[in-house]
Amino acid sequence: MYKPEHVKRPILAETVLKKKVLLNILEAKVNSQKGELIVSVPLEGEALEDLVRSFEAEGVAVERLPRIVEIDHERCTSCGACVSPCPVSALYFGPGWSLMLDEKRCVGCRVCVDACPFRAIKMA
Amino acid sequence: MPEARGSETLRKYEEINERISRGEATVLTADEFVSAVESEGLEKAAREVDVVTTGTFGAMCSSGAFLNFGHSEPPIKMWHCWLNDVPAYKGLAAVDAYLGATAISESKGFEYGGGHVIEDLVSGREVRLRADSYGTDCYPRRYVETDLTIEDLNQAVLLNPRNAYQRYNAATNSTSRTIYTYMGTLLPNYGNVTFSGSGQLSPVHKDMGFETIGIGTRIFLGGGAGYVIGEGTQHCPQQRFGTLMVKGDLKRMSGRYLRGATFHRYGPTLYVGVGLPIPIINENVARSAALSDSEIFTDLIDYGVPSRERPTVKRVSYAELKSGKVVIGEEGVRSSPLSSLKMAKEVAEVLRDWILEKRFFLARPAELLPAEREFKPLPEKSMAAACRR
Ligand code: SF4
Ligand code: SF4
Repeated sequence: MYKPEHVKRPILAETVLKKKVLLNILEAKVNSQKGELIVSVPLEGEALEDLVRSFEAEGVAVERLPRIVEIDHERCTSCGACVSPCPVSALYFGPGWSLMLDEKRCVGCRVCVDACPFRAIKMA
Repeated sequence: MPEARGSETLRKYEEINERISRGEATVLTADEFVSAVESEGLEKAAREVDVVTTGTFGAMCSSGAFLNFGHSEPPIKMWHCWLNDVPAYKGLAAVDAYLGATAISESKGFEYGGGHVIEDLVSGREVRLRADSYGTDCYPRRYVETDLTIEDLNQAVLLNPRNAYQRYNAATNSTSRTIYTYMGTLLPNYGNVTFSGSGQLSPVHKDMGFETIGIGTRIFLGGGAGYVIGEGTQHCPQQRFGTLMVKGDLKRMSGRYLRGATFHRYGPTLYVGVGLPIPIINENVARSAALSDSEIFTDLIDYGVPSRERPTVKRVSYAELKSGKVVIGEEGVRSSPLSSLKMAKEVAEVLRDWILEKRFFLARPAELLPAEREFKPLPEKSMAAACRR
């Protein structure tokens, strides 16, 4: 989350150059007052902690989105309304058009939560 | 000379039903029939197969139920009434109401609606009824509130003015923001494609000429047996937009095939499972029942344009839609259905098994549905012209 002073500086680009990490922006809402970015970070362990610290040192608030989406298979009809909106193809059809989830791909963006007409998806 | 529509040149309804009762009928789902025609050819498959079963399971906003609550003591002429805070239409007799699938809860908003009440009722769950009135000499009571289940109702009849669209437009979004529609979440800049309808399993597409579908056709509806009672609203078969009006006894249906749903920022609706048996009475019907996903087309429409006349991006086959990628310009764009293809297949299989188990017989329609119908827009006459009258 950006504060007003961050909006004027290319913090994300600076961090990408400094840390040489390939961030993927999934959602960005930035105006003159504040900003909120959802980024997927291909890092784990100490490298991830280091990146978080460098953002925090700039005063950017970092929130970790839970990666785990939970599908209520009683409610899910395998309609597919969540499949094409998922930006990373974590939701897909298995055999017989049954909905499947690849947890490792999910970045916790929540797009599927609103896309599901049966409210069958929750963030754990 | 062309055969008359509905002519029973290959087999008659009576023969089919006799074969069903002797356990000798050949019944295939539409998926199975498409494969049979591919391997054996149309003529042979048409000679061998008596009935092809179809299925779809999608959001059908034009759905609802007629309910009769029985009379309270002292009696009330219900003026307004609510089920779990969802208003039902009360412009009928004292304790009759029509609950529409898209009616919105007055306490929970979009998250709960008429479709959810129908699912709760059919699943045997208790529902809170509230009703008010102005009081009359014959109906003195002014308010009633009670909990009831579907068992307490005299009648609960699912009656859907428009179900089972032959096909539906596929949707995408050219604008720079995500839009939330009855076609689901559409990402910006042609970010995805959604579609509805089950393609080669789609009930109406398997008898495009309306040679077997008519008033009195017995069907699978919501997990029970129902009937086609007429053309659906906006029926426009010459554009491949045929629709059905259907009814059935809600008390004999199942919550597995009637599911309340909410499209984000659009509102509630009802997912309905519908399946039609298509008797292969002549070669025309066989040809239609044999159509595969690659031969069934629909239009990909830009829902980013908020107009009645939304632009068509391209024509697209159900085979391409179901492949998970639709080519727009140079790009492959992810596509996914909104109606469950898994459940559509299940509906067709359940209906096939009912027939094979001699639990479901075919009905010759009393009257075939029209094969042509005009679909007009709303004429908005100017107020000046209205005032002159
Ligand atoms: S939260 Fe849902 S839409 Fe987002 S990445 Fe995970 S599965 Fe896909
Ligand atoms: S949108 Fe919901 S019901 Fe449909 S497949 Fe996804 S999780 Fe299942």
